[in-house]
Amino acid sequence: MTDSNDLINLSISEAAAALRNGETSAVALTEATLARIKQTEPTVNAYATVAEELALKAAQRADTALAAGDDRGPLHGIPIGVKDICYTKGVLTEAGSKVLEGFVPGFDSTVVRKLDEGGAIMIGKTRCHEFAYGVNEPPTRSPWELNSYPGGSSTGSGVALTVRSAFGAIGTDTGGSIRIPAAINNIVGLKPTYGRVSAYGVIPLSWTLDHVGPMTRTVLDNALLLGAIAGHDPNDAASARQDAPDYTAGIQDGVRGTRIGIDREYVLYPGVIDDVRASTESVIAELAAMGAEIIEVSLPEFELTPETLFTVMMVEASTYHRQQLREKGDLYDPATRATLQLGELVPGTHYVTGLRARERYRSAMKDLFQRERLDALISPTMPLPTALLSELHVSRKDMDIEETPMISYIHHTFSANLGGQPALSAPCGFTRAGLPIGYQLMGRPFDEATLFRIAWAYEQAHDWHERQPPHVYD
Amino acid sequence: MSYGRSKSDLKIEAEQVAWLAQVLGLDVKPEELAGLAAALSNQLPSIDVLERFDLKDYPPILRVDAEWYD
Repeated sequence: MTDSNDLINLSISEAAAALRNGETSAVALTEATLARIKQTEPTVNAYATVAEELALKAAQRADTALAAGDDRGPLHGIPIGVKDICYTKGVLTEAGSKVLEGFVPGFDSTVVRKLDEGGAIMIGKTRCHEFAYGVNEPPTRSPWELNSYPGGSSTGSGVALTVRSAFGAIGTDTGGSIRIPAAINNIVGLKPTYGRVSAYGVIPLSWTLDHVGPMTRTVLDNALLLGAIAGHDPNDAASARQDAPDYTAGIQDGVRGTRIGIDREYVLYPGVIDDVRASTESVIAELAAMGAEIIEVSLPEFELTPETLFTVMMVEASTYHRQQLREKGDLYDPATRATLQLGELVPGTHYVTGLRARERYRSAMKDLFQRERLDALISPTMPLPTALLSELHVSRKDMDIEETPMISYIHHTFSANLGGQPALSAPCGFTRAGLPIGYQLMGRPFDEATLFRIAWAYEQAHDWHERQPPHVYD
Repeated sequence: MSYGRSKSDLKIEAEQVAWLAQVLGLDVKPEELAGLAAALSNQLPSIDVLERFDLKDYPPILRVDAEWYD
């Protein structure tokens, strides 16, 4: 298998198989990925830094090791992109900010170290909103609609996957920053359980809401990538002690008997456009036809989640940036700077009330899962597809309630950050305008495997995830 | 500024934000004071939404546990 286009279209699991049966090499996969980056970057700008020399050396080492029988696992020799807020030893880490211009860390974040230990090839650093806050506009563009929001804050990770300039990518998610770019770019994104993947060496946005997770083109790849990066890390105070299982075990076991809840009033609220509503109902109907039990539920505490998340996130982010804001305030994007200033003006009593509201929400969610014996909750990932950048912060004209697309985008995602439970977004169709639609599954803490099993079953019945964006690169 | 969805009649003036910023040692550009005042006017009423729910039995302790079925 020598054709570059054939190689970049392989999934991680397919590339891993091709590596082991001698059809390709880590160097060939890396060279094909670098060629794709050169072809697509002028249009999509997904990478802040491309680690060409380091990647090729790592690929040569990976081939030598594999030939010698040193097989590090399913990511061995696979090119992976890493969000630019994760420390990478010797490689620029600028977090999309002039504040960190030229910063080169002296050590790897744990997630990057684990990728390296697993034999993965760190191909480059993917672009993100400034410090992952999501209020400025990164230069990345999605080929699905070049004038529209490419998703964020793990912007480059999502776009690199959809244009095939990475086989997998690392993102971070504080209110939806893995799942939103996943839905917009027609890929699979998982926000794992809080503490499941170490955040050591990842620049914080909000310590108690931040999650590091895998972004891939298939559900199986997502399970493989999570398996490589999950696990306890004594360097991260929030790291979970539970052992990470083999997330691919049982992935093909089907959904018969699985109990999937839906709170229609909240997740299919008036802000959900018709195409998204229809796609979500279709996923539910198909899972039911496969043997899943669909349970109608109601969780009034969902109403707490926007104000809770904003209050907690803003204060924590402003706390992290407090000193830097005073020393280098002019280097922040004006929108980020204003939001950090706002966070300093929120009273401490509001922050603690936010923590209490968060605990009420988490407790109610736990009770709901216990009472209804749920395996997952289902919803759209976002109420609408990507919107024009010029309309992102303008009240939507397609609904009666006052809400901007940017606020709509996080309606379904941020509750999982508050509860700490895992949440996965996967493709489930397209709008009539040809824009990707994603659905979301939220599960029990540390039960990512069930989400993979459900999503894998649905994925087998469709080719949504194989569809590629318009070719806009040449 | 994109975050925040609360709307209320609370009207914080730019001069009040300037005073607060000075107390906190924040350097806010004069032309950005009005925007920050408007954002704070939208943000502070969030507490009313949270307090609509009874929180007296919920201490501010973050717990993420795997035993949801125990």
